[in-house]
Amino acid sequence: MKVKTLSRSSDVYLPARNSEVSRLPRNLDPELHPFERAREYTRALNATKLERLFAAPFVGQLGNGHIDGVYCLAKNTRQLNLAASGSGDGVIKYWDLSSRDEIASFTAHRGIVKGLAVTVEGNLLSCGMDNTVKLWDITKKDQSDSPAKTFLGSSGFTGIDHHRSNPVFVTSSNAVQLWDENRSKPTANLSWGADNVNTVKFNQTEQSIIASAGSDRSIVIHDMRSNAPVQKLVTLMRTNAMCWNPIEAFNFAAANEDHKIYLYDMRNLTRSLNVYKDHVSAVMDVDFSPTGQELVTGSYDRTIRIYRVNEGHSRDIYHTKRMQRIFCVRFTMDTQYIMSGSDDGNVRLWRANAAARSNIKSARERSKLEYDAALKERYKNMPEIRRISRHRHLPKPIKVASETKKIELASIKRKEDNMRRRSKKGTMPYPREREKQIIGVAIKQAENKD
Amino acid sequence: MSEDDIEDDNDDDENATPSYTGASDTEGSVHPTTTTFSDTESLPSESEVDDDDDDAMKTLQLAVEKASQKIEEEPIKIKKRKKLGLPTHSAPTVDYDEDIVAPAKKKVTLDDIRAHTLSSFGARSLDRLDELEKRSKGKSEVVKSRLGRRLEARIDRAAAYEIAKDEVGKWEDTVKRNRRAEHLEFPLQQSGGAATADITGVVDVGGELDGENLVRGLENREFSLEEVVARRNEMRRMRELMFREEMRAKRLKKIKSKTYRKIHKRERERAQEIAAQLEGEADDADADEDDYERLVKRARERMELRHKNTSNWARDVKRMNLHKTKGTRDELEAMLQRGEDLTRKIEGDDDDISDDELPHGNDDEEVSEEASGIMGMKFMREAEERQRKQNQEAIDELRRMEGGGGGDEDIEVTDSVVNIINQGRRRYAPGAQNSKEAAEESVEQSVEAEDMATPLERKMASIVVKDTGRPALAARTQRTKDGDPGKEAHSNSNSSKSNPWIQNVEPASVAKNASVLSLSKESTRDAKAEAKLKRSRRKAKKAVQAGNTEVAIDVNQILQVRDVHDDDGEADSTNVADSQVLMVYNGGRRARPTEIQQRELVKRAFAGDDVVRDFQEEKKRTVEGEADKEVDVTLPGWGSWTGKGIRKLQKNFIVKVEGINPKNRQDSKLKNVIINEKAAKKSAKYTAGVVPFPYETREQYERSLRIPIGKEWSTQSTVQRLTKPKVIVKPGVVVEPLSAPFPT
Repeated sequence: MKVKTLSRSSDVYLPARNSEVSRLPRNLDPELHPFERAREYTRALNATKLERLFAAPFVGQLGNGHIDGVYCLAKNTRQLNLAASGSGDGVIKYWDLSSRDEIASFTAHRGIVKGLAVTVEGNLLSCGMDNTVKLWDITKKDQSDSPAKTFLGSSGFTGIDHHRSNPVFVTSSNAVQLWDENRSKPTANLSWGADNVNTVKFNQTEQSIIASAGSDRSIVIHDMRSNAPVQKLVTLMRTNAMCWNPIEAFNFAAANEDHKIYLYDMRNLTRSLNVYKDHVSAVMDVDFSPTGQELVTGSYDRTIRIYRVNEGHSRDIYHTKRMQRIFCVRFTMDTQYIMSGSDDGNVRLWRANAAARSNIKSARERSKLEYDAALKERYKNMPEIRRISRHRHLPKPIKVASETKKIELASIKRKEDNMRRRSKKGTMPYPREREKQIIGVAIKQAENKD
Repeated sequence: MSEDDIEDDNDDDENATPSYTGASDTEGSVHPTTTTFSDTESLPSESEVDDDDDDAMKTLQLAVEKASQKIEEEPIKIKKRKKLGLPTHSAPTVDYDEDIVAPAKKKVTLDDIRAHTLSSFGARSLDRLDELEKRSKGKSEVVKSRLGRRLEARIDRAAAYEIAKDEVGKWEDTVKRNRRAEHLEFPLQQSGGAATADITGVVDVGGELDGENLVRGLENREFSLEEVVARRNEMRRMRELMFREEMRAKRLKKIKSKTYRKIHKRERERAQEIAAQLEGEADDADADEDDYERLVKRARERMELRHKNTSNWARDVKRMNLHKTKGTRDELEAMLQRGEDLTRKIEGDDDDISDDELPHGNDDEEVSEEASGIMGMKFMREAEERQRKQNQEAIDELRRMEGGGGGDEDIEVTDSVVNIINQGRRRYAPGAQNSKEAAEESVEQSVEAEDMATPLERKMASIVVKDTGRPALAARTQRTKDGDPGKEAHSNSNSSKSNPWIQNVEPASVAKNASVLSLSKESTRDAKAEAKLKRSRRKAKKAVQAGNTEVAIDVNQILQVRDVHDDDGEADSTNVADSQVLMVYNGGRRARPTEIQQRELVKRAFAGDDVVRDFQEEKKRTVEGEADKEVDVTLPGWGSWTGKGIRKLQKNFIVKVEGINPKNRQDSKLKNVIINEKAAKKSAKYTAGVVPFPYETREQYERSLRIPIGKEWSTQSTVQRLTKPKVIVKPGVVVEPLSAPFPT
């Protein structure tokens, strides 16, 4: 007798080849999947917890670091794994990021190296307080003999940046000077006013535009085409560093001495587009992620913070016990990592996303991660998830400083409110948060064209 | 700090000495670093002043101080800044900006100073000053030119800034697009140039190129001589015709006669009509396009009401006896005809008038009308078809019964009565004539049956009859007069399966809704749902209307009535109570002893059940329980000890526990509601405290959370779409900054 049983062919549910993923039949009947909201919330919560669990931002330091503090960093914008750092004793080191070893190390300047830039060919330009700019051929094994080229200036250089596609670079000293790689003298002087310029930056998208920040608390926009400064902004406090947004040609971020970073539109400098708060000391450096979606900042308070461009507070804060004042930070060109140079002489490598890992993932793992990210995004405003995702252990001095700062600001506000209450109505308007820091601009808009 | 200050402050592009401390001094209190700036700024000025000028400077300063003291006493007012700036007049190159900033202001000149320094002390220094002034006057031209250069530079900068802004502004579209993009895949430019595709310059250039190609292609083509000539002649002819037409139009435009216009208008219309007809016949493909226009036209017709003889024009025609004349009469007739047509159209929308009943039915119109509205939909048409089939069957059945004389009469009787009563407005169905006799007979039978029927049935019938406000007999006579009892017959015949529900007994609305109400088990679900909805609405309305009649128990009357019909004759014994309940419901106008009995019965049945009072008590308890409370926390015996030197303890062991003020309760004004005022602590964990940023209302935010993302709830593609990250970076690739597609 033949017994009939329920059966189905294995062809239906087994993959034809080993390489194929077996397809799980799914039933989308909502009756079978109740409590969707509650389940997804729980998943989001778990994902958030796991994210914090896996958060390990610090990858490691590069080589053995420098002997003196690291005051400038440069990344090779055409190759992912190359970077250079310059220290206070005049030594420049060239790093291989994938192995975290140094490729080359040489004394470049007498005194501090103030700026580094990478040329179009991948060579290194350095400037120092010894009135020289030097061009280094990185491909050579031994750099000790001499640089490929030396440019002499009249005073110590404080910053340097290279044009994205032309053999042109710009330096800041007591003036903003434009140089050609093939000439020994500067081709143009773009300075306007300030007797000491801290930093200078080329726009990477609109390539002929340069921004510089002077010690007279000014930010000046220069245009290479007209060989002249075009606009000037004076703020309450000094700007330490600047960076242009790589995908938004007219926006740049300026790291200010007043613990904040400001995002400006160069077409209208009478107000900032955004103010990034949270640091408790002067911000020393700022760099955009190559996607233009995030900012990394290094501060004198010994922390690195990462901001989303359209938010006002940091999404993450990095610190270690041994890390001292941070003078330079850079995103790597693949947006995955962050380099930082600090007073303690180490160059550190961090993950841009603390919980992310860059190993190759299976499709399933990737889709799971994407699903988790979507859930976290969706439920991020739920109190518990919010609390867990924001929770960070901070070093005590920073915690204390931030609390003190909060109190200070509150008291200032209270005082102002009292004054406002007692003064004639309308005489003390509320200052706008995004315009507070601005004292004035040189060229005011006659008419707004937009 | 004003704009000028910034300019002046920093505009030492040449080696001009910033001899006043400008902003740094005035702003000095703002920031500690500013003091260092002022130092550095003053340094070069000191170094640059010549040694031999040094003495002069000192004496000059003294003199100036003196002078300024006196000046201050006098009404001449000078700003502090200017005072500080004054010594720099000694330097030959200095030009400072009194001319620019305040050209109208009175300057302090040497003569002023001299006038105020009477002592011999300043004599030598004044001589010196004279010398200086001469020198400075000698070089005044240089000063002039420098002023010009500064202004020039400033204007240049402004212009350069404008240009730079414009250049950078070219990125605006790209930036906006990237910001708005749902997903950004980096590196941007390799992924098909999404970011740069919309730069207008590129697009324009592309367009031009295309045009050029086209022109070139045309140029390359060769024409024969004949072709060229023929084409030229054709063109000439067309031009000529156009010109003539134009001239004619001009001439016609000048004609002012009204009759001419009227005639021509009519002509034009007629021509159009004919053309439309021809078109309609010839070519149905364009019908769709014309449909809209036709609809608009018809709507206009409806709005105008030109087709009724109530219009001013029509009345005038009648009043003036103009309708005697042939033309106007025709017109009037045409108008009325159109009016009639339209009404027929409208009727046709509502009633399903069969074709054979319409004497001069316009077939085309009929078709178009049928196809419109909900009746035109497929399911409705199918339903109609089904209905028609059923009707046919029923009629056949009736005929058969007529012939064979078989069948259960009781069913016929009750149903016919009910259905007749429910009919209200009469409807005409196909095959009406055939079933006429049958229907009549069935009615007669029902009348007969009334006499023999059980009291319940009588009651039912009487109630029903009364409620419809149309006596059954009258209805019958009317019907026979009409001679079209088809619909009745139809519903009647249908009755063996039909389910006439409660509407049949509901009085006021029956007449209105009768046409739709004969629902059977076979009728479509939609129809049933519709009927149900209507029923509930009607009920609600009636409940409001009949406020005076008290509904003792809410019984499902639908079921009861159906039972009456379904149980045929046997219903009399079992359903007495139900019918009485019904009567209670319908009552208010006719209180019968049974009704009173019923009330009594209900009262007795729920004798101990005072729901209302219980509820009120419960509410009171809740309100009191949640209100402010004073709790006595006295410990028995505490403080009651005795002995020497014991102070009397203050006995305040009453603790006040704050609660919710009864007046502030949400249900304080709602009589029949208790609202729980306790905060739900458990759910607090799952609720966002405030509406988060991009959302504006709570509903918006909740909507964003409603649809689950996971793969248990949606298909693979949806899940992928929902979980796709906003920014995707290709791993292991340099993400280059955007580069311009246009030359910079």
